[in-house]
Amino acid sequence: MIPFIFRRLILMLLTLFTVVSLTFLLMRLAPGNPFSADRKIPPSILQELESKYGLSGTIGEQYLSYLKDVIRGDLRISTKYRDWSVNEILAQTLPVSMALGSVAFCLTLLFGIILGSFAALYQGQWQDRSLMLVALLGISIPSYILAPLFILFFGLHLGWLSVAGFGNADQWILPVLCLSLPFSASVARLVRTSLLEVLTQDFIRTARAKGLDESKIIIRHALRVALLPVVSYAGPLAANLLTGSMVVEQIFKIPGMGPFFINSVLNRDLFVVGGIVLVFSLILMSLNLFVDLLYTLLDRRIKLS
Amino acid sequence: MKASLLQILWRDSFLRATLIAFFALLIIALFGSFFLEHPQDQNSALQFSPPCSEHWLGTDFHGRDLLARLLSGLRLSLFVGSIGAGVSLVIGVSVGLIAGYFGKKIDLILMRLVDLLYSLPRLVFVIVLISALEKPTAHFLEKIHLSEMLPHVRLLLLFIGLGCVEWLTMARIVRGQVLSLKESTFVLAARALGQSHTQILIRHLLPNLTGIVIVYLTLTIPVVILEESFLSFLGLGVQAPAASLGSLISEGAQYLNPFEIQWWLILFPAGTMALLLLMLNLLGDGLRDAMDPRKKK
Repeated sequence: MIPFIFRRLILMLLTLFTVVSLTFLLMRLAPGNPFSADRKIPPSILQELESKYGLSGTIGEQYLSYLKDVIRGDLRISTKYRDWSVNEILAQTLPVSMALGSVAFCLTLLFGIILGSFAALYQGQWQDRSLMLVALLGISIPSYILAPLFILFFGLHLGWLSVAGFGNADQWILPVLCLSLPFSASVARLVRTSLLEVLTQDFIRTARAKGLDESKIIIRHALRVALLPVVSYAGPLAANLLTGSMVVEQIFKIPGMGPFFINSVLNRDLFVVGGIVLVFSLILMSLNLFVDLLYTLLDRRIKLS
Repeated sequence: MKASLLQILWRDSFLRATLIAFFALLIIALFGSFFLEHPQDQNSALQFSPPCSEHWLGTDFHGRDLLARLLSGLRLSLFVGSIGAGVSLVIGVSVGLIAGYFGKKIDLILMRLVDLLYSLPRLVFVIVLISALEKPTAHFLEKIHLSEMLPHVRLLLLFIGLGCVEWLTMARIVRGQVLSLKESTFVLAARALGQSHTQILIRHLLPNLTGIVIVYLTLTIPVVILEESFLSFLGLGVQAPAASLGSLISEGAQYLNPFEIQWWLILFPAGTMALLLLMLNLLGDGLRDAMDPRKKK
């Protein structure tokens, strides 16, 4: 267990190093400078700016000094929002995104597992067929399509819910729903398939033969095994939620990392982009490590290698 | 093999209906524009006209006919989807073949890479890639005298970027198949007859993979279309005046306000998108289930 975690942590560090290097070099080597997109800056001023932001000298020197700063935990100052350091921007936006993401994450799993089990219980009957058609429709309607439709219907047509901002409870409902519904559809499909497979196994027949009632069999015996694929889907799910939340934050005007990232890419604000990409990758890789460990705890047959 | 895939779809009445509907949509997308009286000319007098007998789906901010825009958007989305999925197919099948056939160290390294990429925010990289490489690619195209390609730099980068991140599942599936196929006697026979590894890979293993590859290609196309529209929605995909389903939805979302509701601008593109993806997913799912040996009744 310990050597496994150790090896994974080393791999994580290597990956983070690659990610940071690639992002920096790509953004820096691309033509155009991060200080102004359309206006030409006098060379002397540009030189001053570059030395202030640690972007003077050869590309190798710039890269090494940036790498040193990142290792020290200093993600530097934004070249666009010049009074802000990337650390400050992250400190403000990351909690918002994390709150939205984790609520959506839990809701996705909850919806998905309940609906998937329900469909498996009624396999082949109309409940199952219609639920699975809805789930397929859910997969086909991503968050950024659902969001304007929900705004149009619940926000503007019915006037029930507020359509932008972040803070009040009613401002949470639409973004969280838009973010989690499409992915609950895929979780539901996953749960249904895996539950149906588990239900054909011998230990379920034994449970039935003992006279246990069907709901107990499902919850106590079958779901426990059937949820393993869901656990391994948690990593990709988090990655999807993360990219999905970029648009959802943009549409609902939520002050999270997403809109900052998009704007910074367009503004060539390379330190903000670098910082956010670093955080994104770090979150996802830690979650994946956690999921892998959890997996072995749930299923003793799997050995870490 | 191809004929039998179509036969599988044809046998199930629901899938048959889906297939027919899909081809109908394809034909409308490809040839519908020829029958339209209103090409995409701008007419500010007709700004935001709701659906009427003249403009079936209404008009947009510039007074352009939404139906005409929608058809060209549908074409572009399908185009990006197929080419992007094609790129992912080439990468995924090659990686899967090599990893599965040669095994050992190569397999370990390649599959570790796949695992790693699965755990990273791949679309984020595509976003960075597109914004960073746009100008260099344009310069490159000018240098090799392909200036007429310049308006399509974004499209080109979309194909490459999306293809480069969507090959993972394909690689895994192909590898799994190759692992079991390479133990079969016909591979051994080919080897005994003195065929080279490349010959075995291309002549013997590849043809056996056609079925499963087509199935996953069908399932990759909707994913690529989704991602393209995601990027277009954020303003990083196709550029105006060209339209894709994603950019149309994004335009419609821009004009959402509580005072004047232009519902047709969002409802029709979103509906078309959902319909297209639903059909592609239905067909792909149907094929995958039919090919799954465990599901034979």
